[in-house]
Amino acid sequence: MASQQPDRGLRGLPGGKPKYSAFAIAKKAMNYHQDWQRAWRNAEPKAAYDAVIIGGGGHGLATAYYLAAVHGMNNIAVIEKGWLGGGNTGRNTTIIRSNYLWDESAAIYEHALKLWEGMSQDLNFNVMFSQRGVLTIAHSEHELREMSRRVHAIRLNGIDSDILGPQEIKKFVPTINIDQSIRYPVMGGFLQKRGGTARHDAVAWGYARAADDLGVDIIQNCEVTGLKREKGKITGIETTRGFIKTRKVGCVVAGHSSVIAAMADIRLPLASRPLQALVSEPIKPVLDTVIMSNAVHMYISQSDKGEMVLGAGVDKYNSYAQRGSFPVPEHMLAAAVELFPILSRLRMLRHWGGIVDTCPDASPIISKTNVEGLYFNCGWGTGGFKATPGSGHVFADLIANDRPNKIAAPYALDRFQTGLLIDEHGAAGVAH
Amino acid sequence: MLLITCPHCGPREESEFACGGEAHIARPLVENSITDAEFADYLFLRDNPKGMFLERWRHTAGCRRWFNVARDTVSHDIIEIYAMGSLPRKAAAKVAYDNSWRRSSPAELAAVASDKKPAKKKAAAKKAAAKKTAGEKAAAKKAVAKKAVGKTTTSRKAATKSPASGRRAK
Repeated sequence: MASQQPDRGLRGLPGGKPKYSAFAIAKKAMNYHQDWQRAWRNAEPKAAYDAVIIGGGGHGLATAYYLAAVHGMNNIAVIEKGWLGGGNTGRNTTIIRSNYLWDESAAIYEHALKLWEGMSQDLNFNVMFSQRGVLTIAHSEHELREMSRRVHAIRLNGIDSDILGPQEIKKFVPTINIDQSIRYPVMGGFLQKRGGTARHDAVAWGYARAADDLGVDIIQNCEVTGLKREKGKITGIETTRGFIKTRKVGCVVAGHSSVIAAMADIRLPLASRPLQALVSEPIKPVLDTVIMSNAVHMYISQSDKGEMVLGAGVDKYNSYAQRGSFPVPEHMLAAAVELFPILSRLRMLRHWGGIVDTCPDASPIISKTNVEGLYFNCGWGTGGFKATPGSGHVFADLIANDRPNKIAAPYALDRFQTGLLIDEHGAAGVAH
Repeated sequence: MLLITCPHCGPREESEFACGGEAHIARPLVENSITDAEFADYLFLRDNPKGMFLERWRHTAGCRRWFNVARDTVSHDIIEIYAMGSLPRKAAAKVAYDNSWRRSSPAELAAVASDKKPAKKKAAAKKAAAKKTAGEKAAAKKAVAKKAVGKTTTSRKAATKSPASGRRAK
């Protein structure tokens, strides 16, 4: 599995759009940067498309890009209710890793990680993918044992993973408190060196620009109000900007998946919950990796601007409000301050919530439906950002060929009837 | 942050409670006769509406008792809190109850059907009672009447469809 490289298709803006480069910056400087081209056209919806993707977040834009770049489908559109990347793509903590327990999960997240490696070149857009390592900490003897089981399973799948002791962790992350007397003592951890972070907005913009270059129409401020069906087949979508005829619809709308599904009388096993994150005021570099703790529901990294980026666990009740409740970040911050005492006097700068679509087995749904031509890619829950390129790549394959490939097949909707669940609750924990 | 009025302890903050998800899900007691798909509806499918949602909460850090809440998932407004085993009374919550797909789900219909069986038994018991002595008859009538009173507090829809389905309104 590890040796297989994904098919990247056409790379580096073959459509003829002027490229970004150091030379271009120097050249435009002569003209006071007055004539930079538009990154993507402001397309008007056409009357008909070969396929329409609902949802202009990272996953939806990646799907459209790979449909054009790998499968040669150029007469397609991305429909977005608000603005590009304004949902969970712009509301996450940008952690990327592929160290999952089960083979099915390892396959899809590693597929994504391989696409991350080289994405900036594919898209001619610097997505600032930084393989700074992701270190997951264990706080008890039992967690440490479970962790070594995971590490071995991960390594058998050909994915890099190393166990670290408390002293090694202290050397790797000097700011961490490894005193054994604290409430959640550091007993050990495991590190994926190829994991890291990327600039979330750049991912949406990079995919949008490259997809536009290949002829994809990106239509913002256009909300889907209905799905038109005839004899069990999709024939078009009703939007706030008119009817669009199409025979294939890919739905990638995260927290609103249940709402769109209801338009086609489909029910999904999803719960839409708020997931919260926050950043501190910017400080000098103190943390050059990503630290996660499943036991205390906390993950932390430092952005290039210097803000400490902290994410919490998912809220406990359903909501579509894009805001969470205070006890959740409060609980997370208490643990964070104990692990990193230097955080105690930092002030919080921004705090936000995104609506994530959580699935009963904490694994996504990439599936055909009982309506011909209607496909769903949802249920990524709290861990969708890291999968962005892999999710788009396999979903594009599903839409183009009307059958799931080997990676996507286990994620079909019928697993909730057959019982073939991909139960990542234990393996992924909360920081997912 | 929600302020939830526990029916037993009064208004308390959200952190004292645990949310138990969708309310009014009947367990299909006919596992052997319904399909895997229908059982998956009961086991995995949860209503996920944007708007009025009927859910169960538990006052975990207080009286530890369960109750039902009618809450809007966009504004987080709680419009009604009502006891386990009863149905909402506020108009918006009633609409949410009646319009839920679950009211016509195979699992729930199977549950209603299984509720009808004891009703038949009851009728048979009545017939048997008619044959008995006068004193026994009066006692049996009383018992039936008592049962009927118990049934009046059950689900609206069930009341019209089947006379005995108190279990549905959990």
